Amino acid sequence: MKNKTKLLLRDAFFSTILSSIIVLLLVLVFFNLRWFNPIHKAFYDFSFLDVFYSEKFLEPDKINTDIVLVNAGKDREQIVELLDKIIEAEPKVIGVDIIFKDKKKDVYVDSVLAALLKKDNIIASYEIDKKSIIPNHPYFGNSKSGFVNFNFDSTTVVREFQGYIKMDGMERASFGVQVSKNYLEDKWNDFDYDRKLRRLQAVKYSGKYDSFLYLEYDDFNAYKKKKILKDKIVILGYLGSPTGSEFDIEDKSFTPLNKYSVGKSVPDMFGTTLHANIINMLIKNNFMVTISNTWLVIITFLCMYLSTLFYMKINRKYKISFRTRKRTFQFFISLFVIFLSFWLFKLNVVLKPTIIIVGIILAGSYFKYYKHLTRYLKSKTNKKWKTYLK
Amino acid sequence: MENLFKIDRILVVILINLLVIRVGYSQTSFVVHKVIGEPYLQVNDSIKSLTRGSLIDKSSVLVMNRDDVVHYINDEGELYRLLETGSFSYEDLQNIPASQNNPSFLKELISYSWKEFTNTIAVRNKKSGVVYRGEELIAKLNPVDSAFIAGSEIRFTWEPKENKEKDYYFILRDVSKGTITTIGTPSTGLTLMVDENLLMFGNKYEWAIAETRIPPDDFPFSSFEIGSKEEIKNSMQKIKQIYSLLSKNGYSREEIRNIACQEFKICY
Repeated sequence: MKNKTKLLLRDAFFSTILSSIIVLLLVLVFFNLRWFNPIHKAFYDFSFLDVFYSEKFLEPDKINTDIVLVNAGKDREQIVELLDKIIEAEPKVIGVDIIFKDKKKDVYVDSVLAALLKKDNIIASYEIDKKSIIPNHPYFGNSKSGFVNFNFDSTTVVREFQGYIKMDGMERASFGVQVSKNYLEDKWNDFDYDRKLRRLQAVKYSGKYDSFLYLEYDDFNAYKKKKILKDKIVILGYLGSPTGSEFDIEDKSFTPLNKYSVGKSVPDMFGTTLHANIINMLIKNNFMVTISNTWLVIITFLCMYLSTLFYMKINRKYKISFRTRKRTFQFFISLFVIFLSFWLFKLNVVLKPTIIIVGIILAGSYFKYYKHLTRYLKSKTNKKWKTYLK
Repeated sequence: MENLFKIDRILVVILINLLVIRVGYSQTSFVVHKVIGEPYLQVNDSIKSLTRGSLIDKSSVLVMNRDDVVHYINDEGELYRLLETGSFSYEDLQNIPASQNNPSFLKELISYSWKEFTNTIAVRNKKSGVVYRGEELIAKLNPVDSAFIAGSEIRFTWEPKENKEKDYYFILRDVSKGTITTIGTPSTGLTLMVDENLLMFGNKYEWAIAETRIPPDDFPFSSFEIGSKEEIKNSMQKIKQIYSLLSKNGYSREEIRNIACQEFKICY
């Protein structure tokens, strides 16, 4: 190897380390000054990968036929009537994504509801609020149930979900896990889910409520069984009034499918649909593989190093057109990284591109600091410090 | 030679098995996913309303009126969209190609990037402080939507609108030529002759009643078809049947004419 090449490789390596330290410091400042930082607030919870869903790059052609959503509405009497008709249609599992926190004055309706909720194939729900649990009123019995929270971190957009959580020395399963487990039966253990779901898992979205079969009160005929529910998973929950209404935000969450990836918007997906998406990925064993933070740091460092090699080379060769070439390179490489991450996302691999792009762009600015540092060291220490940079 | 027979027998058994499996797994019904309008199912002699989750099987015929839309799915979850008017048997529905959303991922990606760079995505963020209150539609009475005209004269009638001072606009669209004729009238009826000029035998037309000369693009039109002389001749048999059936039940000539047009969609 030529001496000049050796110098280039060494200088690029040291420069990348220096850039990485500066990037790290900047990130720390960025996160710690968030109270004063409008940029932080604007980009908080932003992910390039949300664009994949929000711009419908991969809108599924097929409607999911294993899961049927039923809009429960708001009236308890109507819920009881619907639940009765659903049970009659013999689905395999019924998930009730509604918490009956209190008893109502109408004793008859509540007594029928209590009797229906005791059926073996019904999964009830409860919410974990900080350290306490909000379940159904004890009158409605102790049927199988799962927590309806999606995750417990600070993010607003639901990109990941938690299958199990330890609370008061007891392991609790989520609503989606309970429904899927009862549906899959023996297959559940074959998929090794109990181990897998103790970690946060990325949600593989199949779509909004209309990507599933969905029914509402008026769709149930008074005298006829709904044949299509037989042996399916039915989730009874709130899907808006009217069904799917954009302006009804009760029990809605932000998801990557929101058409506004950045800035102010309203929540876009009903909790019931979100559960359906999670259940769908579980029963089909269709998981996303998330590149861990350690690997992300390694990949970012490598990309920064390779970019620094390029920056140093063009800096030495093209004194006048250096900036133009650098900017052009940064533009195309950023596009390439975004396209690559979208392509990987399509293949169920989650590679967060933001830090890689930031690293590549900042490496182009900070290698100049390395240049000044070597000059400074040369002048101060009187040692002969060979460098590739002129 | 014996071996050859054995091989033949094995092949026959395999073929029969494959056929049985194919029949066993073949599609037997569609599930309705979305319904817009009031389409319905004809099962033998009965009529059933169509709702989400209804099954369309081999014994059903789906009847679609104008502006009706039905989305249905097969066992695989493939989505089909039907927007046409008419009657559709199970086989007809099977022949409609399933809709596909994403022909190419790369194409979508490049098109998105282009929109971002040219800033065309920003257009969708325009907001205005207003609510829309659409034009109150005028109910059309005669001829009914999707009517077959078996005569040389058509009487168009519509419901009057209270406190109406300006003219109603009768809009006639020739489907094959794409030409539009607009006639202003203060009354609630208009008779046009099939004169081989404005109206022609064997041609399809659409009509609407509006309060403005140029209604919006999505303004609802009703359709009708004027039968060719041959078709009109053939339809006479059906008209005679309807007439004899209803006259036995004491209906007058004018009432029968009205029922034939409203219920059987044959206007004469």
